[in-house]
Amino acid sequence: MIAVALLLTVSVGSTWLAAWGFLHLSSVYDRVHSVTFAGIAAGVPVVVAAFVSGGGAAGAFEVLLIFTLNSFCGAVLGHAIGRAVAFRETAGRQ
Amino acid sequence: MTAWLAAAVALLPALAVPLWFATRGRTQDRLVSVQFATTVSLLLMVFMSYAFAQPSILELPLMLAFLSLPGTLLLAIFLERWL
Repeated sequence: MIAVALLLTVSVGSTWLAAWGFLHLSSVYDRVHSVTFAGIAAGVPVVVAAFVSGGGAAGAFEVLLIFTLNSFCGAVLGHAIGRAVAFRETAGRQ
Repeated sequence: MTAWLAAAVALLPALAVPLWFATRGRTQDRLVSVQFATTVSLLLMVFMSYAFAQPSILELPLMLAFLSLPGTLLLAIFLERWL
């Protein structure tokens, strides 16, 4: 199962990269994008790894549903958080 | 140790970053930290499900993915108006 190990390495590496970005980026708006990057770049290899290791089992489709939902919610929540922060800054709150 | 379990263990340092921000950061950083911790937790639970060969564990990340949308939206509204 070398393919699964490679896909999981890509997924974990993407998450570490997103964590590094989260730690070093300066504004909230930039950090939101590193979160979305983690959801997409780490989620896709996991879905592929689930299908490779489990074939067409129900668990693989459940993993697909989980990361599709997470990608959709990540986009919506990223913009909702950005809007909330922009309102706070307009009101002069930190 | 399977590849899935090794991946789950390797994800733990990435989970420490949002936890650190949640305790030390500003209010808006804490909200983004919640979202990042949710994404890492989803990955962690999927990895553990495959590592321990327990497909029933997949219900937890599925529910977390469903509930993160209304939960974080509610927090964003609180952040926008009152916090």
